[in-house]
Amino acid sequence: MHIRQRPIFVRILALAAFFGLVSTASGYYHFVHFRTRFGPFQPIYEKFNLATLPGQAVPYFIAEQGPSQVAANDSFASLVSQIRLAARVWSEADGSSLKLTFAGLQTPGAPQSTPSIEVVFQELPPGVLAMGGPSVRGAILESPDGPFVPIERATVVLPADFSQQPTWSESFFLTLTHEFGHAVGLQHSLTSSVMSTSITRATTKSKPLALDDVIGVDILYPARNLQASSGTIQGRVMVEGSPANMASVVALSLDGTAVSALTNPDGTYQIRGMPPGSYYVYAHPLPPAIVGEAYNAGITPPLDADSRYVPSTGSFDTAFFPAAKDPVGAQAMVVSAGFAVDGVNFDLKRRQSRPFSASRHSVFRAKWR
Amino acid sequence: MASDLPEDKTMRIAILAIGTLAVSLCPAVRAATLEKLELDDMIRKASEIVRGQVTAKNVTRQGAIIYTEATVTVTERLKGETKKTVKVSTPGGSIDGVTQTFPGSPNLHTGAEYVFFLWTGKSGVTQIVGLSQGLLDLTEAVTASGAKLSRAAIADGVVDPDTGKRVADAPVSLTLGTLRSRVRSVLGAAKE
Repeated sequence: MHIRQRPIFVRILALAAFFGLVSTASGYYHFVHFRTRFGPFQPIYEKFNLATLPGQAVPYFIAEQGPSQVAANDSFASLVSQIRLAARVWSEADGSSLKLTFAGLQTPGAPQSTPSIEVVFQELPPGVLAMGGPSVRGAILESPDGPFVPIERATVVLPADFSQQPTWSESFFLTLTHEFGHAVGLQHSLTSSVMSTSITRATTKSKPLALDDVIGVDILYPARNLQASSGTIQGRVMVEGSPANMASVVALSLDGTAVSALTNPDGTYQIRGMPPGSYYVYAHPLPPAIVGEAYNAGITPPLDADSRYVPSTGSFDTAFFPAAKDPVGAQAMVVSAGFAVDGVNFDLKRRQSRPFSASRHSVFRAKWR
Repeated sequence: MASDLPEDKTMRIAILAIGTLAVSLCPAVRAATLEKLELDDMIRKASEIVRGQVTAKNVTRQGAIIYTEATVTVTERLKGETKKTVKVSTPGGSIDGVTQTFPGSPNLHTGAEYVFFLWTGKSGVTQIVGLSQGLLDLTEAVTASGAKLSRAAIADGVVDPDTGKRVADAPVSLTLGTLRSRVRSVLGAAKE
């Protein structure tokens, strides 16, 4: 299909994309705390305190009993190898100082003198392939990089029965990488990345992390030169004059990669760690919670000074910066290394209906010029 | 710094947006990594299917994992043993000052009524089949023919057990009466 000759069709497609994007893209998000109820809101992330760890590396242990069953021609040794490869993915993320180091096999739940990640094998109910997440006490510590909430221990839970799941498969490897992402402090993302678990995510075993993943972990564990080598887009999202909490602001680069962040309770946001280049920016609400979920999009909201969750703002219109209903009216923002593009603000209309949420997708085969 | 959008870039933007849509279009990411389960699969794999109300919640630790245990008063049992209450464990919670979070783990509300597809392993812990997949919301009062049950799609994070590929989930919407019939049908077929 040659789209250049069909401007009306282009607009329709752009609008289709626009409406599709309404519910599809939120970005990296961490487990966030605030010291205040009323602002200013400086996000304080849950993360490992690398400074206190031997070699500034997070040790991970694997439960020594291993899975109770493995598939034919598979082995516990093979599984350990895949776990180590998945952990290495995060150690090798560009711009991050995070290192994960294999500390051996151990009895599950054994006391540890230092923070660590534990990989355990449990009976999981049908339909659950794996889980992962951090444990914290909630106290805020200071560091030269700013305040943070230390992760005391993180857990990656794998099934005890591997008889139906080869440990060498690509999908299992990406699952492992995803769960290690939770263990080091990342929540889910809706931008195509290993943390999105999206059916359409573009990550593979050979390139397991997307830009959104890399920036998410870089912000938690920044390498010394991150700020100088990357740029920032920042601004504020308001909904009919009130700040929007957990609005997703997405920066879309010309090569198709997307990076995004969620707003603070005062509506402010920063998309940091961005490679220099041109970006289109849009803001949209999180999809609503499904049954059993307490929070929109299943993303745990930030905790305020009283340890209360600050819920996300309800539904509102999506818009491209500066105030376009579709991408045709968007303005490109040029991001340079070491600089912040400020004032990328949105003032949006509240919407009574729930955000559009698609359950099927189509792939358009468009010809590039 | 903003730059005006050149006119001849219009289509590029449109295609760019569509391209991004193609790699990101799907509903919310909702859970740990999940295997796709059809309704009939859930009926077969569940050890119990109950309608019930959450009356209390308690937190326990089992090895490396903290569980939030909901006490569910059973109002109707579609599959499994006859018990008046059932303890349903969901991963994550706070105990002894430690909070453990598993993103996407369901949070059951005290006082709310659901239909649960439950599974009890050798450890004796009863959990929801497929996390949010095995939890249906009662959207209206129960009548003789049954109330509507629903669950939104969990499109991300579900894996086709046959191919290992990620596939789209579909929302679930049916009446309680339909579910009762379906359970009888599936279980009846399994006995034959």
